[in-house]
Amino acid sequence: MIEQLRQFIPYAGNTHSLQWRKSAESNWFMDTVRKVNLRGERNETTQGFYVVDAAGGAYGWNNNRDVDRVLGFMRSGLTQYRSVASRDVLQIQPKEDGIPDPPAGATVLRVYQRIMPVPKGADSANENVQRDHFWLLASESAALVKGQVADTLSLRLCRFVFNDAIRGEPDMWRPQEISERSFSASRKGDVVTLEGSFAMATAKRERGLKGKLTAEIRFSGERVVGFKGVADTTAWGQSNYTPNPPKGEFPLKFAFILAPTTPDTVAPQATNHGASYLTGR
Amino acid sequence: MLAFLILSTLGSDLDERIAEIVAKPSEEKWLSIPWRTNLTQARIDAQKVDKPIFMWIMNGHPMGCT
Repeated sequence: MIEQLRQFIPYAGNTHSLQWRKSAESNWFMDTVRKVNLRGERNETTQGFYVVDAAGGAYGWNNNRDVDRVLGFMRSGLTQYRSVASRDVLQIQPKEDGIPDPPAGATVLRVYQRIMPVPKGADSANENVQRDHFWLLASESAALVKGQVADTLSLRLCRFVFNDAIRGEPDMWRPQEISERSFSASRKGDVVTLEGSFAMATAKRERGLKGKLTAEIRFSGERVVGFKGVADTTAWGQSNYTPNPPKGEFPLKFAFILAPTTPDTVAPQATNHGASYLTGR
Repeated sequence: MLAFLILSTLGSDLDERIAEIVAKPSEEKWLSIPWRTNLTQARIDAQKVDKPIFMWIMNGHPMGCT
């Protein structure tokens, strides 16, 4: 697969910015993909794999992850692309990608989650490792360095981080679904220890998550220079788009580390909630 | 991979617990692919080298929520 991708320019994108937000980039995307996939016309998700060209020509769409099918899809798309005798040369101007940047002074964390151990008999999708990012806001790190926990930090962690996203995109917690949110911080030298207990559940308790966080944050002055955190949680149930969880309660663990400053540090998934991602409200 | 490099310089129990959870190198081979995250830049690059674009589109960004 990796070798085959050398024949392409690989691009990874998110329906939230390409389909549901309006921008010059999303207009181009929707105009292009509707040539091979009409789901967007019906307000259904356009997710999947596509082979397109720079001018908006589309050579196929596939929403099946089977390796052989994806490889066949890539070969077919490449053949079609190469069968075009000539192409107009366009003056394509660089545009913003529509993905929000972290607010000034924010620290970007990588967040991983994994079911450990995966209960016997559970669907294989539960063996996934899940990745996301978290923006620790400047105001929140300023509070931590004083040994305090900003209300926004505990609220945003509960709503937007401590979700079971192992099998897909989870429904974020609503403020009223948080029944416990007890966080504290203490400072010793340049290191702040952050601890928290939390519990969330839907009104009828079909889905829930509860657990504890321990993190060590190293500061240089007021700047975060190290972040190590682990949360041990127990989860149950499923969101709309996270089907086939293990039966009953299962152990879900989270790890937090500083994110490297690289282009793959895309915005956290929950930024699609707009301003509430920054306030927690 | 980078996560492991970062963690290798540390040595606490917390580090060991983190190492169990973060992605293993075998789970991050796909990150060796030079994925673009700006579609317009991908179009510019594709035109320059005369290659098609392979787009991986998900509900949740593949590079950040997978």
